[in-house]
Amino acid sequence: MKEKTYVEDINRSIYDFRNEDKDAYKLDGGLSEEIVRQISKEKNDVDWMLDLRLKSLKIFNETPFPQWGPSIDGLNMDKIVTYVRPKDNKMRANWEEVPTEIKDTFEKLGIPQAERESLAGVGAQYDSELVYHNVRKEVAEAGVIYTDLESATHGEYGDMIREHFMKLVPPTDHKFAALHGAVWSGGSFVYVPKGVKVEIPLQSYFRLNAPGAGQFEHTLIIVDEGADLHFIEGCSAPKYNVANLHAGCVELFVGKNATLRYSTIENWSKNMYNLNTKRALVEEGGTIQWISGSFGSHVSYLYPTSVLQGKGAKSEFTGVTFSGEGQDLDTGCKVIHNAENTTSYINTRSISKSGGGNTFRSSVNIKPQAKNSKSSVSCASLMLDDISRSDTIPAMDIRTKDADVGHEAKIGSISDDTVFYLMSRGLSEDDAKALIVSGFADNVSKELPLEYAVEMNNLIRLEMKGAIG
Amino acid sequence: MYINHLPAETWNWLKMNGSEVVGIPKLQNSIFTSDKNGDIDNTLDSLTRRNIDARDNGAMRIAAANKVNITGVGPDMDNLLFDNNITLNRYEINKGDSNVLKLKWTVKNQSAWASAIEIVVKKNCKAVVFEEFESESEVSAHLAIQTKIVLEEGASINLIQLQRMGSGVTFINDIGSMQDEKSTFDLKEVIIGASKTYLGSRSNLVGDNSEFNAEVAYLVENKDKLDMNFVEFQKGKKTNSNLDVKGILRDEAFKIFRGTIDFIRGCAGSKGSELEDVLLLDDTIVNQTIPLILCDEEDVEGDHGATIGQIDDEKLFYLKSRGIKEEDIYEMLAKARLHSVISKISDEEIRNKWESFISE
Repeated sequence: MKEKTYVEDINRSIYDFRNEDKDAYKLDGGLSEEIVRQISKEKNDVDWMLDLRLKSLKIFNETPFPQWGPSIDGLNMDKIVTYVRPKDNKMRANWEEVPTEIKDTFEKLGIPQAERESLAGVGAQYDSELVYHNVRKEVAEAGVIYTDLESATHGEYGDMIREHFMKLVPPTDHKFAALHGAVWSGGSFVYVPKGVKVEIPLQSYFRLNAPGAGQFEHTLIIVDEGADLHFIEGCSAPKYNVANLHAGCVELFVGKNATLRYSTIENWSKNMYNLNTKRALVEEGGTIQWISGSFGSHVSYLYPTSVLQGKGAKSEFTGVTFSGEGQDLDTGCKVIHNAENTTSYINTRSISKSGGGNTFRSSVNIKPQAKNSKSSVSCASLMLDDISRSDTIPAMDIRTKDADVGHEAKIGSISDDTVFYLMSRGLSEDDAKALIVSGFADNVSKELPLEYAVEMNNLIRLEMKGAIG
Repeated sequence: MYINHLPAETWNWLKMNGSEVVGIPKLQNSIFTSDKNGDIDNTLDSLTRRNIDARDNGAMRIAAANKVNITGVGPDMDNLLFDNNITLNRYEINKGDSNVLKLKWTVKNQSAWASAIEIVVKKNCKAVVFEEFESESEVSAHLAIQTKIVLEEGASINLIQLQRMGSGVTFINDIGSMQDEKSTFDLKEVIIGASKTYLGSRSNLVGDNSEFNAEVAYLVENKDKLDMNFVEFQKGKKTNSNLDVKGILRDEAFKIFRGTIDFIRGCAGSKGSELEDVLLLDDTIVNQTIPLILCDEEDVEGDHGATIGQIDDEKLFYLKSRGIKEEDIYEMLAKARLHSVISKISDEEIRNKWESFISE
């Protein structure tokens, strides 16, 4: 008798450890003007920032919750703690000086090792504050700025930050963008000067340790004309039985003929509401490449957006989403073609199992001025059992005749014909099925640096035994 | 009136989730001709009101699973007809496989008409049904037509809808099918004219091995608007749906195509496919496309493909090399899309008439 195939859940044990937060300083739960003012005081905000926070709070209170995605009924904003920091609140550039408990956390996640072996710089955020930021000497000497955003607002880049901060994702964008504007804390500022090519990636890692807390980091990256950068973002948290919230914001400015690759391996715990906003503005001849792996969270709303503002600008989005028991992940992307000869390419895979829900949601808007623009959307979904769900909701809005838009979507289970073909080439049935499932997510792993591809493959540790069905 | 609701909503700013229709005047029962050939009974009946929120897809799914014939335009269409005291015209095809029913509406200027048609095809029977909607070119009017199809086990129907309306006509065209085991619904749709056309089609494939196939061709020009919503609700095992939509947009035309394949848990062995091909002829057009696949079942195959834009360069080069002017090539290819559906009409008289329309 055949044994029914069992596809294992992602092994989360390496992420699911926690530290007591007895030594942490935290504000009361909920959201009020008083709390927003307290955060501003804690952060030693520049004047304009407090105004922005208060304006954002007003917008948050006036904006309804989204009605179109997965349920967020379990998220009680009155209980979410918007600011938590270690009592010893000092950011270091020397790893040895980071408090032991926090240092151990990042050691377990492999961050210092990655820095030594394959990164040009690292930022590590623990709850609401950055605890470590460092950049290689030769990269800094090339003029690359990689620092925490808050101190940068006080320094020589203060005006540049004011010019860009929450201009691409204004607080009016949606309810959680407004929330972010009100309570943001932590995150990184990167500036790559004209013509500078950063050969190896920078990485920021976000760890949320406190139960019932929110993390609201802001990442602002400006890649100037002709420059080149690969930025990696990682995130994880231990599992608690109370809701945690991540409402970060990423704003990317890609200059003329510049290239930015932004890779994310998202592995939040299954009590996390991941309501994150990411957007890139791409100037003439520039390229934004999004690589996105979504594995964690209880609920996700995540749609990196590319605004192709200059002639010949390009966007590529490559994503994989794995949804298991207790997860409802609504992911995808948006592209707005605002100029001539712009190109977008979207390629995604999603895998649903054990009652997990996946939604691929996208929009491609080609404006009247975007003559000779091209867009290609391809999404594929794999259902591994009959208790899971997978939906595909792609939208296209084309307003010029000089556009070339192609779209294809496919959904299904493992094909018997493909298994038969592989078996005819000498593979066992088990091996054939294992090969199909693991190969399905290959579009993302092949785009990552080797060590991150290995990490991702660990995340999707699939075990195949017997036959599905 | 809220109609053509997308079964799973997306971002509100896209304005694709559904359409509000306002300014519908008091409607009267339409004047239309009916030509029956075969064993077809015609009876009149009254309608019932539908207490389902037009935005509540969950309620629509439950109702459809319980064999309520939910339509593509949605529950507000049922209520529009009920509130205007429109009479239900029921046609029952009782036996045989050569039944033909021809219905024709010739819309008068300033008219505000509605019809509720129900066609019941009994077990193992077949029918071909033509519905023609015509008016003179300068006519201004409102027309609301609902066609509900009930297919018993093994029954099949070919429904051919042909629309050629004047520049001031608002037309709401609503279709719903409730299908038992091994039934087949083939729909052919040609859309030309009308300032605003709202077309909703929902096939409720409740019986095992039931099937829905549709071919749609449209030409939208001037400042006209075409608003479509197709839903294939696949609940039975081994159900099959195929939707092929092709069209041409020119001048300041607006078109939205919503197409949803909805695989319900338990529909093992089902397949669904949607294809859309849109030719864009002017820079002032608006083309919106939102094809959904909703899936609660593992053992299914669903796919969607869309091609939107101009004629590909190779095809254009070939035709130019044969001495054909570029503007003639576009005209020829536009007509070819309509021709591809009209050429499959079995009735020679109707086919010739519509061939001559597109040749004008």
